[in-house]
Amino acid sequence: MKKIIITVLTIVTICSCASLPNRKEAYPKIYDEKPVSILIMPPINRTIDVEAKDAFYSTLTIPFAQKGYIPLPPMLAMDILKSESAYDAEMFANGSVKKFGELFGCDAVLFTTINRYQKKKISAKIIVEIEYTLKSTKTDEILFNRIGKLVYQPKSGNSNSLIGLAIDHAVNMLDVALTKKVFVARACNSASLDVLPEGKYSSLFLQDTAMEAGKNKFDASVSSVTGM
Amino acid sequence: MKKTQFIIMVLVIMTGVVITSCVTFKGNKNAYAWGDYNNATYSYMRLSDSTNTNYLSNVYTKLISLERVPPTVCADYGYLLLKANKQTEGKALLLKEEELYPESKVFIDKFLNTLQK
Repeated sequence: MKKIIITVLTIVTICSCASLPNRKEAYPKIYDEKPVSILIMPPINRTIDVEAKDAFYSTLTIPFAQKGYIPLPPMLAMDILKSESAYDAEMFANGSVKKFGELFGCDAVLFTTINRYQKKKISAKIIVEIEYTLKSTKTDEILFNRIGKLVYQPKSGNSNSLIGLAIDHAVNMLDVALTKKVFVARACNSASLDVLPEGKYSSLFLQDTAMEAGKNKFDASVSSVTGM
Repeated sequence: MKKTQFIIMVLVIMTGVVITSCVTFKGNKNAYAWGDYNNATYSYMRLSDSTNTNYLSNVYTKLISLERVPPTVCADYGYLLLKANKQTEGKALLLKEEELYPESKVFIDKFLNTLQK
């Protein structure tokens, strides 16, 4: 009996901790190159929401700075990219980004693709799906890639009656109506980029190699997001 | 040792192992304070009218007075001031960004050079 229990618990422990690669295994090129400065390209918008591109662009500086990287100033970069006819990141996502390194002195270029940016009022949900790709301006290699999908759905009550369920749904619909999609996008950034290896200005720079890298596709559901 | 006691002991030990090996997370101690930056930039990106420009300027003003100024803030505030024809203050802030974060120097110098042409 004792042997069985120990064996089962050991397997559970190993499976719960060792099934996913660590950051060094998942993103070895970022540890080799140690990029610092990042040019954040305007997002590639695959949705019908015309506001998504500019709204989402405003969310990307903080997560990279908090991870110890130096994003190039986003407002200035946006206007320069527009003046250089480089506002449409689609044109560069699959090509060489070395010229960005030569022109702007950045170590890497971030491309983001907004696959979903939806507020569903009837089912009281907000769904955001973003792909993040960090490319080296020295080698054109992909240093980091992750797809994050976050569904915001307010908590349902515990009502059993039809009236109670109707009230719960009405409250949820109001909650979703008052929640901006950009709040969910920020939460998606935080969750998806949490496993990005730490940059030069982080206290954990090069000390996070053994930390879990998570799955390449992040998919989660949350019942609350903050406005910040 | 009774069987129940043994099982409880094993469970406690294994739980401890799982928690310490998987859940411990030390965050970046050098993270910055951003105040209302997120909301101010979002509003400005959506509509760059005088209300949102003032809102963003106020946020930048608070951030540049911090002991640890977050990256991009001096440069973007300087750029905003240049657009408002405040050349001296604007350039000074762009140069301060270079001083704080030299990784932005090539980019900012390129922009400053275009102004002189």
